[in-house]
Amino acid sequence: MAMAAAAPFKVGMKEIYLPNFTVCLKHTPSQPPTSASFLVPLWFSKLDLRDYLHNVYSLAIGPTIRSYVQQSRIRQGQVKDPARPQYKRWHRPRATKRMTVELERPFVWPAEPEDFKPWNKEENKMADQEQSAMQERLGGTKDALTIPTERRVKMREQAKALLEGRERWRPGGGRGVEGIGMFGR
Amino acid sequence: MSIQPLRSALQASSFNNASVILPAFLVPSVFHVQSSSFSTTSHLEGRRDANRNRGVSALRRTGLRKRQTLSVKVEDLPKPVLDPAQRSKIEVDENHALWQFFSRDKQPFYAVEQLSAPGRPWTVEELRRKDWEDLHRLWWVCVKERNRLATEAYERERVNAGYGEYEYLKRVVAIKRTQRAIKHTLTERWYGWEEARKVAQNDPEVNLNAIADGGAAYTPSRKSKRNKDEKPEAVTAPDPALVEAAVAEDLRTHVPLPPDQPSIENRARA
Repeated sequence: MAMAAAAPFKVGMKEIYLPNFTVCLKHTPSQPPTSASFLVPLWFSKLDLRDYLHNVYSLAIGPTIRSYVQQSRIRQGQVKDPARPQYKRWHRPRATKRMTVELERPFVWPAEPEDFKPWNKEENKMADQEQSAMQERLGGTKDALTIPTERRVKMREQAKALLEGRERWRPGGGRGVEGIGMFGR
Repeated sequence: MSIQPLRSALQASSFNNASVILPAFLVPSVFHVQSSSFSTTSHLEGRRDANRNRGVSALRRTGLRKRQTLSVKVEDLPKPVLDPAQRSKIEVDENHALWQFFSRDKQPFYAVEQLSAPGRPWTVEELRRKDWEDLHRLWWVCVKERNRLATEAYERERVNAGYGEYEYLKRVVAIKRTQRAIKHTLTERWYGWEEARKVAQNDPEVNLNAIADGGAAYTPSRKSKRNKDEKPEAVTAPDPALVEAAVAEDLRTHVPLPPDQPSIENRARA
């Protein structure tokens, strides 16, 4: 591995031999090609990133680094590192820190592949859509009840029919042994 | 169009006359002049902010002085080019440092076959033979590979490409196991050294302060158990036939890598 050239900034005294974190390069098509954004650990500082990019990647960057911490929204679901594992626990996942640097030489990301067949994008998309439609029909898992539109339309028609006398209400909804029809919703 | 010649031209000109050096992020605007404004409302018709004193603070003494004129008018500011097709094409350097975040074929994300290619983690047995330099180098190879994988996984998720997540996680696990094995080896060595150091503290033949004193680190005493008449074995180079046999035995007992798949260590070096 090539030794890094003398740093154009003042280096610190602490030497780290075996770091255990990941720095991820983000694709930001809306930003100019002379800037690059990274996902860094939450404890990272701008000085750390400058040092890291210089020593590990020999990347020449401009003098300013911009950073921000993105808070995650609260969500339900399996907690990644739970103290008490619970299936559906409301939690806020860990925040992510993003840093943007200015590059000396521009960099443009390679183009996306034209055909996503090797990754099976079409079928996965269709499967996702079907799954979300099915979950909507089942009512979802949110606290607030949202009744889907087609159900509301059907209920309106039923109410109209009952009021006009075209249909008669029967206890049990016509179902016998299975019980009152809450299954169809 | 390459940006480098322009920058050198800009820098060269700065020594002769006091011309403004454009910051790197404004350079693309020099090449392209937008033919039509991106807003259909002209500036005069546009609504201005109702609060004329926005951003003005008496305490911090911000805002313009009375009758102060600025060097730049709003109409003269460079306008952004929103249509990506109309922007100037930028040539990316082949040896740009950021290519290290991508695979060898410079694709935005790996093919599923590449991710699931068999490359097993290093075992502690194999790593025990390596010295610190090699282990340190291998650790950093693992770190850079994990950065590469994280980059491609993030892009794959952003684009919603489809398959690849499962194989990616398997790959990350394999690399983490290699890193764990490296730390295991180093820990073993440290404990061996620590035990030896403790024994050496009570050993009269060993002088732990040899560097400071300038004396010999190890002075074998005459009362050692070795027989006086016995000559110490000379250390010679091992028999090549024996070495080959040992290597063949090693290969036989371990799972061999397929010939066209580079191991984790070799990928970064090549």
